[in-house]
Amino acid sequence: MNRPIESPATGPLSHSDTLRTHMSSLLQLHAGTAGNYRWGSHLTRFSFLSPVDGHTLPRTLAGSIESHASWNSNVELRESLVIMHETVHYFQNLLTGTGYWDSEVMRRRVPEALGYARAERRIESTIPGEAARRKSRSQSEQWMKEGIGELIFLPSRNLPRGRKQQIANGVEACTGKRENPRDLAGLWIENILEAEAISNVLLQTLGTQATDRQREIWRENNFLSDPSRMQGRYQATVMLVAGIFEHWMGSTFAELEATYGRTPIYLFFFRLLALLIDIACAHPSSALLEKLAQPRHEFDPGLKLIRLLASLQHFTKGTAAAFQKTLGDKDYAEAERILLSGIAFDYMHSEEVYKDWAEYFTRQMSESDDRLLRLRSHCCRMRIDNPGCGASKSLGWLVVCKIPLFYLMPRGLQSYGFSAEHFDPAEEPLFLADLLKVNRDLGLWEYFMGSGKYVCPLAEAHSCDGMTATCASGIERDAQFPGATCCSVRRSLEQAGFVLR
Amino acid sequence: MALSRKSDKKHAKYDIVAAHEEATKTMLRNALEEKDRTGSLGLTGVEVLIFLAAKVVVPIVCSFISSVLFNKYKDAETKRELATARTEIAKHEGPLTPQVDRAVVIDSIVAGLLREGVPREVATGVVERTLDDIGKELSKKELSEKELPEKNKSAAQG
Repeated sequence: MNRPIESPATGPLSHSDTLRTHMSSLLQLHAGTAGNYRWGSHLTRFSFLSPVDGHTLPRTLAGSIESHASWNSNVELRESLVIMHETVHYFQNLLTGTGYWDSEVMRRRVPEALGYARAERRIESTIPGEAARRKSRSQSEQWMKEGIGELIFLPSRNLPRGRKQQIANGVEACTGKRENPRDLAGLWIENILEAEAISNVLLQTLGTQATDRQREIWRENNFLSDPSRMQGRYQATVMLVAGIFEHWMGSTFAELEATYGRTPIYLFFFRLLALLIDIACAHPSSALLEKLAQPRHEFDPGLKLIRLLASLQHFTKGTAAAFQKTLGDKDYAEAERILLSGIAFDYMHSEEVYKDWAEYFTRQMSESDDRLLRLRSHCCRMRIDNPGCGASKSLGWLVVCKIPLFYLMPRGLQSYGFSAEHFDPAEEPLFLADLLKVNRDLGLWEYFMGSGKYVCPLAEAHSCDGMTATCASGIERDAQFPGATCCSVRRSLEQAGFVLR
Repeated sequence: MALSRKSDKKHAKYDIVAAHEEATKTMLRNALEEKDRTGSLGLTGVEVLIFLAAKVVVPIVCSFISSVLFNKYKDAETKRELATARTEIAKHEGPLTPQVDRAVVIDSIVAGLLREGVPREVATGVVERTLDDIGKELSKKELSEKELPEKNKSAAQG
């Protein structure tokens, strides 16, 4: 019998403050171990436990658009949830100012970082003595500090204390109460991005039509979508906003469930949460920031989120009704206007922020033929034309906004196109080359900065004839890069002056 | 007295399932971590592994009870089905010796793991090892249960 999927009886909002991170890499966003997205890579990775294949996306996409459960087994459900979750992170990279800002920082900083790493290695291999070594290391460490300071997204464990402090100061200014920065983990960027991913997964699954068996499978596997059963980084922001939501609504979730029904109230809550996060992530470009003459920390998504929540708290009855109407009508631009009007700080409307980003990309494209830059430019224009794709980052926007999707799975690279350009035989190889180059450089950056392992994306994509088992499992020493005759990565590094021994 | 013996026996069989699920989960975790290029396993991965371990251990224990029970649960897909199987295992009073051909047991369970995305070499290794471990443990238990009345008899005579 087909019935809608309902939120679990325990509810996704039970308290837990466990924050555990198991990240092997600086910039990865996980969906448990089933998949992960390296920020800036435009490439999602799926593990064995979510054996995504060529059929997974069409099946899940159809289910998401038709609001029908698309799974008939545990593994199909895992694949669907993970692909929804990781695609939200991909969208965060391609459809938000936060994603654009960090991609631009990486585009500029990663080659610089590799330059420092090369210099460090050359000094260490040619100039003897501890003094030279110390000097070269201190230079690259200084760069590392500055480079990391420029990024908006950082895992919570790497988030500088100063940023946590600034968020705490912002909260104090809003609430008049001094909170311990640790209690404000819900305002840290990693947790915010994970909360948006969770919200969008639930928005695509709660309320979908499902048979009894499909519902049973969903319930049994809800550790991949129910925040109360997930690690701290998936719950922190949800919990924080849920507390404020209860206060705003004047009732607890239990009371709201009794009045409105469990699924409708959770759908409303997660729709609101996703919208708030999307507005909070509308970070301006560096040129706009300069024009606004405001310090960058004022645009930290965590700080902006708490200001949005405070604005929500201070709504009058009339404003609250108008705001709820905009949500019902899916008029997200107007909803944002209402929210921003309640904030003392002068935030620009997202529409203006993205128009500025679009102009920035047009200028950049006149100097570079980087296909990923072109993709970001395309997505930015799409976002201006379709404001809904920011508030709800569901799979259907891949089709509407014609955004190609790429993922790596144990069997290699899988890609999906949604416009004629994505299938152009002249264009596609160039796009893939740029995609793999960015991933190669991000991987090398992490390797030279001490991540301990370089997993070659060419090996992961099965697009290198000279790959060895070590290339795919992770190179841990320079000597493990295969010979220059067969390894294009070693060749490029040596041509750039690296000494790999 | 008899009731107490019966209860102990049920408990012993039930423990075999639980203990081997834990061992198989660890085996799967180690084997997959070895192959996983994305980093260490988190909480959510462990939950999947608990389910996969049950999908290995429960039908194996069933295969030592009867071919009917094995066929009934070799393709168990949900936690509810696996829980029902555990209850049936706990109720069973028959012999604890292999009732199904070893190759059939391995092939059926490996096929289930492949559907869950576990690579073939990992699936085969884990199923074979679990089957061997459970086989050894069950035969040891059978032996000790046979020896027990003998020991009791000699103790009574002594």
